Amino acid sequence: MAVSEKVLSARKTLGGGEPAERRITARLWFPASLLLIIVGWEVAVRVTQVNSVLVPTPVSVVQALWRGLAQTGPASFYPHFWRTLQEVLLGFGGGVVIGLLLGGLVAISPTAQAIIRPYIVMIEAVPKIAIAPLMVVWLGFGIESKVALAVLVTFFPIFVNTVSGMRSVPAERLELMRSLRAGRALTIRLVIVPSALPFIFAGLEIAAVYAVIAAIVSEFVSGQMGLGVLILQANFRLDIATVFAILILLGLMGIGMTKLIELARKRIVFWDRN
Amino acid sequence: MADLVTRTPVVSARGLSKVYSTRTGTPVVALTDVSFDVAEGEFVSILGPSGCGKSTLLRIVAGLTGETEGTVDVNAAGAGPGTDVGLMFQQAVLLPWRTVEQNVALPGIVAGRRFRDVRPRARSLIEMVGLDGFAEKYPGELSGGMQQRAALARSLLQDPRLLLLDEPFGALDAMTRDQMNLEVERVRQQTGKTILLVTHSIAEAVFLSDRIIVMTGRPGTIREIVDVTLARPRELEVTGSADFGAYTNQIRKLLDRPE
Repeated sequence: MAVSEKVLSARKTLGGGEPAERRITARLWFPASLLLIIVGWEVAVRVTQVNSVLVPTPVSVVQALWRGLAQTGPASFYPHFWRTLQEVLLGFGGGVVIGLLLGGLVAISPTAQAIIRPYIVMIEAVPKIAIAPLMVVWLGFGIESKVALAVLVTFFPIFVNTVSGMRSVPAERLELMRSLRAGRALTIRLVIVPSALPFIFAGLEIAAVYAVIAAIVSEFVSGQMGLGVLILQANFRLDIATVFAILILLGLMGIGMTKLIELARKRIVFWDRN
Repeated sequence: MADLVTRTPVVSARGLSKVYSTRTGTPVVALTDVSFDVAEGEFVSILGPSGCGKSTLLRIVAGLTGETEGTVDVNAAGAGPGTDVGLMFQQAVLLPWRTVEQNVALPGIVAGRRFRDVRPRARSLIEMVGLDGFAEKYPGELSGGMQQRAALARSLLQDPRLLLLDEPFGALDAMTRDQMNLEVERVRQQTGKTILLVTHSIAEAVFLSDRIIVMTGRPGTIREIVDVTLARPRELEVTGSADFGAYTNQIRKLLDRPE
């Protein structure tokens, strides 16, 4: 929960409300400082005696990125990018479905809560990354073991946020439904689920980040394809520029997912001003 | 027969007591031996300091809490909350993802009716409480007073025989509160509803009521029941009259000298 609160409060500081001019200036600060860092980096590597193999210049990173994107064949980034994206999306989707279902069940049924909760706490106590080798033994070197780990990792924030969202419905909303003699099912549909949506979206944003981490780590452990595999290969070749190029791709993948979730959140949970 | 029906009180409370058990184990007596009637078309206020159990009393009448002793009969056809009792809380409690008209229509939806069937009635109530043009806005776009107007419209949707108002304007500023009191007086005038109001504002109680149940706490019990015979319909000017002042003084004295 602490994490999701952080996510929410971080967004609050970005939100509008300032005069337009100040917002434009604020928007210029980031690209300006980024440009400064890149130029400074390029100059620093060229001027100083740092080994440019170990610390590539921005220009060589861009060149590596271009090489990876422009060429076809086994060294091309595309098949690896798609593979990792597939693992991330399938894992994320699976984790979301399971997290929502189990979370909803635990939130509305005390029996389910009594049975499921202890297991969830036990599973959560184990760092799931440590299960990655086990997944390989059980599910093989293919995409299945990666998706499984991503499901396991993304499931948890969704589950926790679904439960706490459905549990922290303002009491007066429930009282209102009670005063109208609304049944349980109707109360869940009309009040409890919509009230939980802001929490669930906070969980989705965390889960998206976790999914990428899980996919990359399991590729490190046992991958035959994917951006994680490419990183390892480039690292062994001491082709650090390519490592950086792939890190940029991974960053873009993460940003893309976060942006999509944010877009959906703004449309669906439009009433939540956080 | 018709005569008999009109004489049956809408609310009839006899010897109501409420004891809460607390975590520490010491029971808290919220109400002791409260008896009163509310007749058809009557406006009755329950007035008292905070902690005198007046909200508890209303919640018992609403069927949201059980009584420990005594009985309460609500003759609004099929007692308890539901289609025949309209309820307003201290907060408007509008669902932020529903438009004003969808919120006002909520009691109808819960009763199994379709939105498009309830919508015309919701619309006309929204107009009645002075929210014309806001039917398709979301609660977040409304001020506190406007939200309470919407809540008032919602409580009227199922045309309940009895309205229960639990300090509905306590969170509003004084001027908005006066406006809302006028609104309630107007609604009472137009609909002839039986209304039971819980409040800690002496002026609000005198302005709106036919009878005021003055309570003292704790444990909450009835100090006295005051009849208010100010002419109706009442406008805000009445609050400056000598009669109005006499009532507020009388009640203030009752509250100051609990026996």
